[in-house]
Amino acid sequence: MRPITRYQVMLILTWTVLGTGILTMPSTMARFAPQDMWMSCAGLLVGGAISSGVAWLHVRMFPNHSLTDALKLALGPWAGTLAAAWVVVCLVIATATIGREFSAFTTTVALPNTAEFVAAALATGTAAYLAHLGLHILGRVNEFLVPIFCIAFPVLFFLSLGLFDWSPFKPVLASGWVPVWRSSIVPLFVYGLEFTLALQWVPSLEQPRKLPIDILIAALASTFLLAGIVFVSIGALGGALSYLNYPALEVARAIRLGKFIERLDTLYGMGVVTILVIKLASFETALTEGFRSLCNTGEARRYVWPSACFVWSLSYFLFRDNAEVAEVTLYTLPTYFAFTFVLLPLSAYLAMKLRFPKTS
Amino acid sequence: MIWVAIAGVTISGAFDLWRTMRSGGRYSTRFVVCWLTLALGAVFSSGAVAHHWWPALHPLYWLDALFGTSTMWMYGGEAP
Repeated sequence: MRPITRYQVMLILTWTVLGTGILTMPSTMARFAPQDMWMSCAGLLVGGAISSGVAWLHVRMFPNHSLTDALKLALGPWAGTLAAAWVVVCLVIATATIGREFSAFTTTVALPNTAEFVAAALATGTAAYLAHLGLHILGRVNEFLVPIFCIAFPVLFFLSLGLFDWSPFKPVLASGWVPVWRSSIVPLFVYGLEFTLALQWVPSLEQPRKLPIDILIAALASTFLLAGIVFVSIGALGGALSYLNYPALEVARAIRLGKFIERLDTLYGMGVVTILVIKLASFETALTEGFRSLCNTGEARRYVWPSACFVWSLSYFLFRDNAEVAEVTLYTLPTYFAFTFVLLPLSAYLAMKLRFPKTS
Repeated sequence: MIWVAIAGVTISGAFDLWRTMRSGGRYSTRFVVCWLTLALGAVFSSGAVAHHWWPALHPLYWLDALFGTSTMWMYGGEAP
């Protein structure tokens, strides 16, 4: 197995968090504070900082082990296996959520006459193939995509400034800080804690000790990109923002330059589909590592295809439509993720410290 | 769709089992249990069972029961 570099880790994490982030985060944030939600983007950075803190403790105590392995080592064979199973179940549900968001997006935007499960099968199959090839291939795919995004993102950003208006931002903090806090809960506790996914990749990292810094850099980059998208969405769409499922898509759709340049939402759609597949693949690698750890086997690759089939069918079992996905993201995932990716690892590290004070 | 998923899980599991046996490897019990769980999970994914007949089978039912209240507390106790 070839280790992945720090640059690749940062790229994978950035696209992983922004994958569904740029798709659904603006709409979930706009439910609470459509005017002031640009301030809530800081929640993503705070979530990244919390993830970085957890990663700092993890790589100090378990520099060569994934999160699920670490839970088993710290909590013992019974409680540890139970905790690892809990993490695996959480990863399964998170991956199914991403799969459902992907199929809802593609069938709404690009393939209205295609059955959702067919679109999801294509995405899950591609993601599973990437996961089957290994994390370093996923890293190289990310490296390949960087120049394309470096061109597409600024082009869409600057062209959408033509639709920009300052009036939707005023008055600032008209309803106080409470809506801003509510609006920042999803970026902080759902997307911000997704950075802890990297703990599952620790055995494949070239420099695991640098993971906390890498998470912080990825969190900074993600927050910057998200803030740009949110800023333009508020300025271009104003009050309509809270009624739209995909605000950034509507902004890209409204761009017109002269008589011939329009419908740039195609470019946006292609970008979102690509990074959603990357996000699915990175969750899939974390999930298969969890299965490997649970089953005490040497190779994670053998779990890729069955878990992909499972997640594909589960995404329809869990959610009937996109509204259910949004409801779960808003009302269940914040504390579910906080418990699974922060409290559970912290209690395991504490248990390790108490059980083996000299070695840890 | 559900039958394709079940077939996918079963075929890939059977292929892996065959490959391991052929190379003289040994399967752990937990590995087989994991396969069965995945296959059963795919069966339950038929959806109708959980949605219409037995809501407690739905994982989100339990997740909501466990974490719904604390998340609402984060929002200040109000549904937006």
